[in-house]
Amino acid sequence: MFRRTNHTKKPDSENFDPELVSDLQKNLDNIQKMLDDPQDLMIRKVPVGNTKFSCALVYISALSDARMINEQIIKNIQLVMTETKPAPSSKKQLFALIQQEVLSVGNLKKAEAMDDVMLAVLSGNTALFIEGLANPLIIGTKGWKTRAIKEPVAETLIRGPRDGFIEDLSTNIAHIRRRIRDPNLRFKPYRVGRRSKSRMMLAYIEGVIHPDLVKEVDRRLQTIDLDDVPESGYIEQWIQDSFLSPFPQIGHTERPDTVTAALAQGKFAILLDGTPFVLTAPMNFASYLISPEDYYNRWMFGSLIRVLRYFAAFNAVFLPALYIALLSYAPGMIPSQLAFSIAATREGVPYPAFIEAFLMEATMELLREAGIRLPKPVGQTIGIVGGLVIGEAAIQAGVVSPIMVMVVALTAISSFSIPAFNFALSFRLLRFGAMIAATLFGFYGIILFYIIINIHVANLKSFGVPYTTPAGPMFWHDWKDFVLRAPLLMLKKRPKFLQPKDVERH
Amino acid sequence: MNHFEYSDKKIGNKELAMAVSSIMVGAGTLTFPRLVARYTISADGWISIMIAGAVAIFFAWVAARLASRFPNTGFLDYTSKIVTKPVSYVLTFLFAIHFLLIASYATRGIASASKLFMLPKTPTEVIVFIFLLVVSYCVIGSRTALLRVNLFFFPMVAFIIVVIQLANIRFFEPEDLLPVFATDWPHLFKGAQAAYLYFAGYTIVLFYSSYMNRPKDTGKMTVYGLLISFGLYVLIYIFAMGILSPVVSENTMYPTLAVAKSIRLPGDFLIRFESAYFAIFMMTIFNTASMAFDVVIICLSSMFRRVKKVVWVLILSPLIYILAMTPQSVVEMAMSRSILVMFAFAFSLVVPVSLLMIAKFRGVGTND
Repeated sequence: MFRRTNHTKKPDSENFDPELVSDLQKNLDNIQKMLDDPQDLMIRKVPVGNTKFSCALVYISALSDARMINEQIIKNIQLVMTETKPAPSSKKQLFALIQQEVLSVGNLKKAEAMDDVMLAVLSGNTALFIEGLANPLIIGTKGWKTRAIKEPVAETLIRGPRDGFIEDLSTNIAHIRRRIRDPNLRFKPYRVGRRSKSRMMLAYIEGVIHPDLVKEVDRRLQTIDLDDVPESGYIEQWIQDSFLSPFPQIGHTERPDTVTAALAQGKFAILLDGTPFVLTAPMNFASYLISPEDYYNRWMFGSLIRVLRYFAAFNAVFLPALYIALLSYAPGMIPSQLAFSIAATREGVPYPAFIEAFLMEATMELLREAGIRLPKPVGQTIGIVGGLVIGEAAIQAGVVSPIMVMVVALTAISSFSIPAFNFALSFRLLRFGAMIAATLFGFYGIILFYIIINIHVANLKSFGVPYTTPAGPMFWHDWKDFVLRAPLLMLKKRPKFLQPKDVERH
Repeated sequence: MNHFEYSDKKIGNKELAMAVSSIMVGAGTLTFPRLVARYTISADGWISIMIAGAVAIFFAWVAARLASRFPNTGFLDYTSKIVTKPVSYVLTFLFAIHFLLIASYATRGIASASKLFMLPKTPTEVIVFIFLLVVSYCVIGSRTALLRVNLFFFPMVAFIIVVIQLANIRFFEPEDLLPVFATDWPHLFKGAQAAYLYFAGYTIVLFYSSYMNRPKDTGKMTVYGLLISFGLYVLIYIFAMGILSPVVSENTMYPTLAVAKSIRLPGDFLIRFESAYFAIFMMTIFNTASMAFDVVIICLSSMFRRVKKVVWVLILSPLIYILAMTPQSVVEMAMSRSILVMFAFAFSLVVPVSLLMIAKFRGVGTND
């Protein structure tokens, strides 16, 4: 019963006319009925100065800047029009006068249809209806409280800008515009979500990005058909190349500097209103292991950290699996002294290595999840309680061996050192795959699992760009910025794998 | 979407060179010092390998010339232009069988070695089955991706092979290599005959050249690729002789792996390095198997255009499984190997040369 009532649509045009009419009162009634006359819908009739005409302002108080409406619209209509002489004789003249002279606001537009008016009003703009004219003026009066600009929590750097994106689209665009003053910087507007009608921007630098890439992303963005788009993750999942892959094919970031760097390389960015997470693509395997800090530090250190990260990525996936394989299948490979000490620590452990490993990895994942969910002050306690107390107690109780705890800790640390969170997530997933492979077939299983991952990423593409460039289709040039980060003076050209139109970086 | 020129269905020069290199380094690489050393006195096998390599390079160049005469044309299409259509169908089918045998030989090789080094208790059937699953997964994916996997694995494998040899340098006894040229020519040629099998894989260029971005470079890249594995073979052989001595290599099942036996990492981090070394080899054996499998599918789907790739994989992988499991003993393995050698000689020497000559004679294809 409930389900049915929830899903039946209200008949659209029963009580109101979805068209604009020239009767002022009728338009206002229509709007009121359409919105079911909510409390925050403001309809304010204002006489136009000393003329015989009257007009009405429609806006939603919660979304718009009341001061602006009072001081720059109402006041002007009342006062300026009184001073203007001679008084306009026709409605058309009045409209032109108001549009051009009276209102001291920058953002003005003539609405053509009721839909435009509704969307504008619901977005926080003000509609100015003039008696006898069907088309109202839309005045940009959006104004609501936004969060202050803060350093992104999930992507902290030691050296680098401290500002981050926020939920407000205009602020985010400003972030990018402030960093790239190129006249070729493009922001292509979209509306997504049938009901949410959220604003979305596709940003790219024309003349740098491959033109077909823009066409393709535009095509994919046009296909989006969702009710409500609360986060850019929805966009990501809608336009990605493969939903069966454990790997993300689109990057997300809260850092404006990351986005500007991506744009300058010939990538595009997608900004969605209501979320600080900006999407960037096309991505390849290597670009997830890059932190902006690699470029801010001197190249030697940047390179060192990169190499370290590749090791970390390997560790994050394969370390527990290697432990299982070594202990269960190839204990002979461990040097005897080490083998004895491992055996000694494992003496009381009642389980085989793989159960031990699964147990500890699952605990680790739980701890991690709990650490995120808990309120911040408590979160640290979980770290101590979980990490130290449980680890220590588990060893004391003889459930796991100290070596296992070391392996788990090392794995966790490794996966934390991967800069892209979504990429680290896929490694967490793959780790369990590797552990199962190691449990069943030892080293043989691990190698086959490694081969499978390689086959998979070789097949994977992000917006037509092979995921494994510059190693897959080989681009020697791009190796300068792959495992090692060459000195900036040597990075004179944009990455070749993106096939930018403008190759030179300067 | 294929707007990036490099990411479409074409392969670059490096992909082809790596494909040629890595199909040659496969299951046979593990055993070849034993098989070559059998025919020669002291360490003279390297001369045999040199002879085999020189022959292979010449004929690989011939094969590449043949393929690059017909840019962007599949094997079946250009052979039917050179010889008649029925003949080209027969040839393509025989090639399919040839590569099917290579795939199953590689599969069997991996199974026997993994049973020895990694999974002594797991039944061979299971090992083969799992391996074939992964190979099938690779083959079902795009062809370009399959060739790109070479590009990830082969340089790594080659690098590790070189490092392992060099890490053993203190066990290397140059006296073992002496005397040089002690073997008479007939035996040297016999050794070369045995060694040639490992180089015969270059025939894949006949099939992959049609996917080249720059078909003109096919010849050059084939020879480059061949030279890389040729170098590896010579290196492996000489080190196997110098470290294990000819007598031991002759009587070791996997002399190539045995070389790694004595390696000690600093601090005794891992011992019994053979298994780890074999694990590295698995990647390139996998490449050999998957490429051979893929070529079978190229052959068959060019003959029967309507059948989908997945269907071929479903039909062929059980066939490879059966073929791989058929030889019961080492003797039977040697027999199947001699069948392979026969095929290899016919298809890598006789067929390309005669095809090229007929093509030149009849003036088919572009002459550059």
